[in-house]
Amino acid sequence: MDPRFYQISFLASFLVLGGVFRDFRLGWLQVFVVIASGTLTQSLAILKFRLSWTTLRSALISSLGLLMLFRTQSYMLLGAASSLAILSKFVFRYRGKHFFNPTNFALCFFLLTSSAVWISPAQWGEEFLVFAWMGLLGILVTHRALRNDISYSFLGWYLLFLFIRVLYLGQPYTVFFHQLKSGSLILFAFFMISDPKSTPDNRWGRIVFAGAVAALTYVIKFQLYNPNALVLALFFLSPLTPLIDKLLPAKRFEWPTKTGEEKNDASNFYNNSYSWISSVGVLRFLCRQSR
Amino acid sequence: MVLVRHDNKTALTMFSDYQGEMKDFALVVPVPEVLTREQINVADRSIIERVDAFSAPRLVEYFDPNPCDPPMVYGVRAMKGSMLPAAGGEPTSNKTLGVTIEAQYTVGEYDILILGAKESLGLEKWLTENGYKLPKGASKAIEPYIKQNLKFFVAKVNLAEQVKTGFQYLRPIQFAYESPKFMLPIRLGMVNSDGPQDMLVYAITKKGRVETTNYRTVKLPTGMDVPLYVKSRFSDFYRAMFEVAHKKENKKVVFLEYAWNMGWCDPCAADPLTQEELKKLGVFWTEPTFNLKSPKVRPGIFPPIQVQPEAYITRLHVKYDSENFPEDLFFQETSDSENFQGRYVLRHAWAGEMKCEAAKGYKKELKSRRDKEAQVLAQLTQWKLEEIYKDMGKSTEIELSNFNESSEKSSEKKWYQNIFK
Repeated sequence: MDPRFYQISFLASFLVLGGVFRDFRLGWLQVFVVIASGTLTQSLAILKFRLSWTTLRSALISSLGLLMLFRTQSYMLLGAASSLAILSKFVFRYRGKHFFNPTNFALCFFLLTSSAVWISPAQWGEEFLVFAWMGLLGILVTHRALRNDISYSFLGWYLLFLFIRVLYLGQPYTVFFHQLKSGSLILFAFFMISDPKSTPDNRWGRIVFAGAVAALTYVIKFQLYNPNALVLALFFLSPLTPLIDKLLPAKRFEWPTKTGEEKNDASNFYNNSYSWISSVGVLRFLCRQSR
Repeated sequence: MVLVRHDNKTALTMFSDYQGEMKDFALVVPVPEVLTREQINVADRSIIERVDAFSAPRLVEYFDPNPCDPPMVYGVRAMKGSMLPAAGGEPTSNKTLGVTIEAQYTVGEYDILILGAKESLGLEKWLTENGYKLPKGASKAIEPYIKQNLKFFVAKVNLAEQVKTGFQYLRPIQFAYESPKFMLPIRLGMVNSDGPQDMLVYAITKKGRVETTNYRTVKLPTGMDVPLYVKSRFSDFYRAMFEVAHKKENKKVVFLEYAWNMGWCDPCAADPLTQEELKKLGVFWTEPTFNLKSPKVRPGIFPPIQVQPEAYITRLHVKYDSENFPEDLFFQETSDSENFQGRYVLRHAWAGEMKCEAAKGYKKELKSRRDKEAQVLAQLTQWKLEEIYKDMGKSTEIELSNFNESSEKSSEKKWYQNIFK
């Protein structure tokens, strides 16, 4: 079965967890705006480039990811972010492969350009049950998508850096466990950096990439004191993916769908320069709106 | 603590309910840079009381309308909650061992040293030799701050200067600094205290709500209808409710008690702070903006427009201990400008005459309303339901007897009504 079904149901379960047991303040209208905007953008892309309708699953995953992370009081920004997430897949491509995780792109784009957006990194708390639930489902889903290597290596690298820091500063070990149990870290490791479509194709490439993201996260968090270090590090390093793919080539990932119709889903996109230009136009419009 | 922050600039006002001998008081705070004399100040205690009063959880009283009248809007009265003690002070002292005195000032009643240290044991020894009583484990707690190249702000009471001030208490110390770190070092304070410490953080920013980034920020339960007698026991109620909420969240969270634009409030527990008061707290962006939303803007041909600096206050309440708060508190300012307040509603029954069919329904509703209020109170505070009913008893009876009297045809009392009371 398509691993995206797992991902959709797991992300939905986290969203319900957040809405019911954590004060995420998610209204139905927000959920509607994000999902509608994301799926509508994807549908237009499907019609335009004759893609498979199964790609709607990916759009839904991006929308659910945004609902969990993206905080703003503006419905317009929410809708714009959801649409931009999808558009980024078609704009930032190299050799037919997008290199930004769509949710991450929209999130960071607005974090960096708009003062009306924020992320609450501590929104999940450090409860063991939440940690275990997310970790377990995360392992399951990355295993299905054959991308658990990047999750494990990211966590390995990052926790190593954290551990060395705790040792160096002479902090109690509880600090390490406190940082480890953060729900945001687990969610990032298993549901964002593990995106098989936008990360390097080669296993060693992924391990190196994960190490670089972990190192940059550390610098942004502990040297620049930015609480959004995880998502920003991935955002800044994502453009390295094409380079890593070039140096360490491997078979491109495709979602296992029944008919395999999704292969090369948007590979003919760049033949259509008009669409490319119009996407850039939309992007620039969004830039202006978000300021 | 009052934390005023914009961009990388922070003004911190520290106040503790220190109860011991003045000569024993000492405060050690890690600071990111060597502070100059101009960066340090002593403030009036009243300013902290003003912030507390403005942002404290409050009771709101509503008076039921006569059920026999057509619906009408009634007045709202607010009452301020009791003030809670702020963070406890930390002990310390002064002299050698890899320790450098970077600066030395006397500000108000305080002798202040800015110390730089190379290693924690050296600083610990230096402080001990200089008469600061350090608890065990102090060097362990100091070490991470030294490794992060922080300086130490050490304040002691200068008794001669203290007498001159004429106050029986210690005034809050303020200092301003520039640093990308938006945090409060709480780990040092844990060394010298036995139990958990209670701290209120009033963060004043330009844009919106402040939250912690390494601990979950949770809203205090709010908006419930509670029995009328809570009015006379509001402090007890608030303390019990906070304790229950704190335990429910496994003692691991920071509570949001108030988040509001300083320009106005509804209902106000106290008047909003004036521009001058805000400045005293360190609000350095003083250019005022026109606040048209303010309800103080009175309608008229030429309505006076209230001018207020943009200031958004967040009141965070944290009860921390070494086990559940292994790290210092790190914060971020969000663009969330949604208002939040801890408020509890008292609903007074209609006490006047009622002569209509609707009065019957009202009586029934009142009874079930009081039951619900009792249950809510029991849930919030974990007070026993029987005790709540006992405490409620009087006021409820009076209400109901009022009702009985007025619903009788005549307002005169029956002869037997006074016998069995």
